[in-house]
Amino acid sequence: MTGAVEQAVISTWAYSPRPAFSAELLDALRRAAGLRLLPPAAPGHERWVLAGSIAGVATAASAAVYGFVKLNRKGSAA
Amino acid sequence: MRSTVADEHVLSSLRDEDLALRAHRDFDAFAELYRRHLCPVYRFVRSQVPGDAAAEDVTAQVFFKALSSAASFRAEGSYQSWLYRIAHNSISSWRSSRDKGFLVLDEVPESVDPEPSPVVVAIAQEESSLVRETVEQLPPAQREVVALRYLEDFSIEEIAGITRRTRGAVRILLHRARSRLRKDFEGKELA
Repeated sequence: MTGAVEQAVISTWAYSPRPAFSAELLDALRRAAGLRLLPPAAPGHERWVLAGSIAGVATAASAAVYGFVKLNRKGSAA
Repeated sequence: MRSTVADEHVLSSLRDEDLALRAHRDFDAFAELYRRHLCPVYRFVRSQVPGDAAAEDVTAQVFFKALSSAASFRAEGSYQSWLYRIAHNSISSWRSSRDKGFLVLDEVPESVDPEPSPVVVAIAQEESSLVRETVEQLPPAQREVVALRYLEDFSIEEIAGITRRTRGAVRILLHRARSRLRKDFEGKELA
């Protein structure tokens, strides 16, 4: 591929995220991580199973909340 | 807990792989990785999926997966390759959902301004340029390796690892993409 064509490819895909997106997603990730870091109550092996479950549920819930907020915003903007 | 300026200075001086090994127990380490990689990951995802909204959703999935599986990162490979493998899988899942006919909200056309602004017109003109048209008509597998090679500067070996292909298969895809682009561009006297 010639340099000119390579440059054309790069400029075609010169995308960057919305500034607000960066902050919104970091905030959602922080909340997910915060939920995951709740100290598990059960002792021994079970507490890690519980911690893993909490982490999974928290991550899924945060992703769902993030999607819901986004949809609402899209709906209200339309 | 918020990190101090001193903590941030220490984190910013660490290599990706060192941050990644702390990321599952230290959100500030993960946030530093996020700051370093958000823009290139978004750019890569956006080069593979149509529309900003779809790109945001897939990018969000990538970082949620990176966070939830942070403990599984092993320092044998680079964090960047590991993250792009997640991106590759997320894009594949997105394509698969779309191809199965699931409702993809991002493809629902948004309301159109009856009198588009000059900026919108300019963007539309740019989007209909021959270069964009040609690049975006590449088959998905070729488009992906071209983006990884020329946009993100990965080696053939790294691309093979990210896309789970052999090095030979990656070379063939790149060769086909280059040939097609060169032919199209020369035909349109752009090269």
